Amino acid sequence: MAKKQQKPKLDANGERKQRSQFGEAWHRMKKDKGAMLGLAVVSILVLVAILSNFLLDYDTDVVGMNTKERLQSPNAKHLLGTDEYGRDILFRILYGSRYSLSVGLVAVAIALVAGVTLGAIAGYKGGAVEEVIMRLTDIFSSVPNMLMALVVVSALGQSMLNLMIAIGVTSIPQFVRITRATVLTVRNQEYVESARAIGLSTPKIIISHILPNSLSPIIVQTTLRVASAIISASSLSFLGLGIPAPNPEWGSMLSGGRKFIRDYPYMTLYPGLAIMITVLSLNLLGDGLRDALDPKLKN
Amino acid sequence: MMSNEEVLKVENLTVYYELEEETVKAVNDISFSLHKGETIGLVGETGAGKTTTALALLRLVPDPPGVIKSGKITVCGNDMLEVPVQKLEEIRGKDIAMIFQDPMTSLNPVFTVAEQIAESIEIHEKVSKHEAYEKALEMLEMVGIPRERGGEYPHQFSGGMKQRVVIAIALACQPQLLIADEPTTALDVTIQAQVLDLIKNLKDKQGTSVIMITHDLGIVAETCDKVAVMYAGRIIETGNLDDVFNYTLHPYTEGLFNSLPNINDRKAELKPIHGLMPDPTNLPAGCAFEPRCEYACEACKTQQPELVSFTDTHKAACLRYAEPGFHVARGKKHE
Amino acid sequence: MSKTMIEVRDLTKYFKTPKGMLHAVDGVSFSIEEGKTLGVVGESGCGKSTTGRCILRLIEPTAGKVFFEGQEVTAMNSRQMHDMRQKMQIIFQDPFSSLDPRKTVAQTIQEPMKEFGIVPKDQLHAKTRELMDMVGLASRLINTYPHELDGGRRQRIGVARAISLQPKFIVCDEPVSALDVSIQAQILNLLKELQRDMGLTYMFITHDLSVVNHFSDDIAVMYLGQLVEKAPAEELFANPVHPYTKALLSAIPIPEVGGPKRERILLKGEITSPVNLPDECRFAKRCNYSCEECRKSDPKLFEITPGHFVACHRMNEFNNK
Repeated sequence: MAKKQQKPKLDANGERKQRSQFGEAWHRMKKDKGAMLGLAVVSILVLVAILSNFLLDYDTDVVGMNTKERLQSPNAKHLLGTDEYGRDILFRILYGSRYSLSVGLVAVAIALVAGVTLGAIAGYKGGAVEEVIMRLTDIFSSVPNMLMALVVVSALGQSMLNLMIAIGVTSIPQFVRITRATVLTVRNQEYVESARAIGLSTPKIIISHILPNSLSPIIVQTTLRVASAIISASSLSFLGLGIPAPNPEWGSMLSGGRKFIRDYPYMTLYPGLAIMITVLSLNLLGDGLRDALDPKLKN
Repeated sequence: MMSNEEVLKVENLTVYYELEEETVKAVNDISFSLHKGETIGLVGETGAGKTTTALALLRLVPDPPGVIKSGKITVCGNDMLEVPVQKLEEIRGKDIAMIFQDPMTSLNPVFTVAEQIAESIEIHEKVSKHEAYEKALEMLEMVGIPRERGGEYPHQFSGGMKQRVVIAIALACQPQLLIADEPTTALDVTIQAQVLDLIKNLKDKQGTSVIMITHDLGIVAETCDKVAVMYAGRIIETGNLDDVFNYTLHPYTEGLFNSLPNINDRKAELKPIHGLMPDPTNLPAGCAFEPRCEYACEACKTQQPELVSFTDTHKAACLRYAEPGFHVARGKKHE
Repeated sequence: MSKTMIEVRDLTKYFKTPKGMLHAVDGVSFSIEEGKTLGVVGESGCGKSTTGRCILRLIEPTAGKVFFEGQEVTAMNSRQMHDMRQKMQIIFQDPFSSLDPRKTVAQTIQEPMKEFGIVPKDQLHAKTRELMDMVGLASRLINTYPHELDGGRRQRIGVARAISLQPKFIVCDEPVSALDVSIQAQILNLLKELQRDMGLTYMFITHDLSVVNHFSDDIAVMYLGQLVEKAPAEELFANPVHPYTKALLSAIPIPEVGGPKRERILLKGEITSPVNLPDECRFAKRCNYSCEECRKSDPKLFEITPGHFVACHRMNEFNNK
């Protein structure tokens, strides 16, 4: 008769499809075309990043110079053309995804762990502890991100690890704020009071009850921060402070192509597109996640 | 007090909420009428369809996803489902007014209370702004709030007083019909008594007919002349107070009374209705109450009971009354 | 042989607000006997919920003492208090917010048992099913999430969680107010049955007087943070002395038609603010019988007849006995 209902309700037979909160969110997200597109592209990028190490040889394909082949427009042999050193741009872009994604992920991981911990403590404890943490956060976030990253890299030296640390540290305040805000709402819920009535200690309550329920905004923030971390990494590399040459980081590819932009625009066009597509799909994914996890849409 | 003038007539009203994956059958073929000065209690639990019915009367059912599938609603001679929007806006607030459950969200926080009352008067009556404001202050006095407080904002009033302001707005234009949707559920018991008293006095003074939507049978006993009991979007019993309270017919109505603690007999066991409310997206073919009914028979599963008249005023929808001699345990029998 | 399970002495809780000191609970004293139910009634702001939470030290009292079977709860350190929690539990009002939406029925019910380690791991599942059975929850629901269930079932989960540690005392904070009438009756019957089977002592907080009459042995009436009257349930309904109690009782709409007409006492005005209270009877402004004395000092709780306590300057006049 009617189409099989997939709601997780209980009918007279007791047949039920169990669906957790995340299951329902996934169901909602599947309907959002933008989000699914973003998810697809991000998945492809991750695959490329992983596989390019095996499919491409670093020395010959990526950094090997070949002056005979230099400055070729896109053709059958070099699909996206070559740069001034004769290196295939497509291969460099594919390999370059490793840098962007790894910096993005590690930097955000650092920010996530530090930020969520501080935010959760600030939100749950309140009082003096909260004041101290939030004021420190305010101080940190009053310095422009790029400047902060610049300072860290200049002090620690130029390397991928230091880039990750620099960008990670500048991303911490956002996570502290968002975690604290969510925790403030959650801690007033009666189930938290119930946990106290059972005798659970504060750390247990935070880990077992508060954090799982604060996840939604944090997940969304994570996705969006990876996008902005990638832009920061590219910007720093563009300035020559990020991943050092000859590594094919997209930002430094942009920088390198600047001189040739008039006659050989493809040298800047394709790395630029790569950055744009990556960031765009991460944003689409993040927005989709936010809409899917938003409790107000639950009816 | 009651003349025979019919203020409201609802005929075969059916309202569904058509959602993406399912359809909520909120109101299913209900009919009732109200005369001048009468108060009818619309009783039911969550999901019975009371609020949807009220909204439908004012054509305020959110559309989408709400759809009025069929039916006719006549208010003071106007066919509510056919009148053009302009006429509708004239009728709302002037001929019919509504009070909602939650006084916290019913008032606009950025306008003073007198302004909000005056707004209603300005729209519907041909008076100047100044006159409307003056009338608004009079209404405030009538609901027991000193007129000096007219310039204050909603957040400066308590829940009970906010509800009085809401009543003042509703009654400012002396409507023929007042719909009160659980007007005192959010209020404390002593404040509830005050507010119900107020509604009663004002309606007596202005000759207003009232639809009192509530789940509280005590409120019905104190404020209403007649009752309609709703279950799963249908009216399953209707009659005047004496009929429904003392000559109870329908098993669900009996179940409701049995679930209530008897204030005069504290030792009596509560007899709850076992089971749960039916899923409005998946109503059974037969009587919706059958799974929970202790009097259910085979026919109840497949046949939809119709409202049958037992006296001039008393009707109930239960198949078992086709059998001679059947009656629920509670209540007396009609002669 | 009834012994006192809970004793509360001069319990006080003040909250600091920008407008001044909020007197949520002010010098409340009472006791509850083992196996009995004390119903606590009052309207918004009377302090009944705060009192319940102070007894469990979910909110720390500003002053006063609470005794559980003679031991002073308010003097315990956090270790002792932790162990105490096994014996004193709470059932909350809102079945929607009192359950963690990310935990299944099983996880919610098992949490207390896991915390106290009283049930070995391999028996947890069986014990959970047993508890679900006791509260009338079908065992097939064991892995469902709260949002998949209705209010009545969610409340049963709350009850199962509260009794899982086999406590002796449970604070029921408006456990049925958020439920439909037909479900209310189911849960009330369940609570009564559990009390009989497990020998529980209840503090039943509610604003619904007809429910409290049915459910309690003794009833305490609170107003603006103070206890104004306390008596056995039958006595309170038959012979209410305090003007507030009388007004409260007369305000209940009775679902009966054709009986004798009741005189309804209407109170003047609104509930006054619990902030910065002067030294006078807090009910004086709304009372139809207030006099000089009432505005001069705060009446104390007196035992007017055995078991019947009233705090009113004019109580002897109002006592019909």
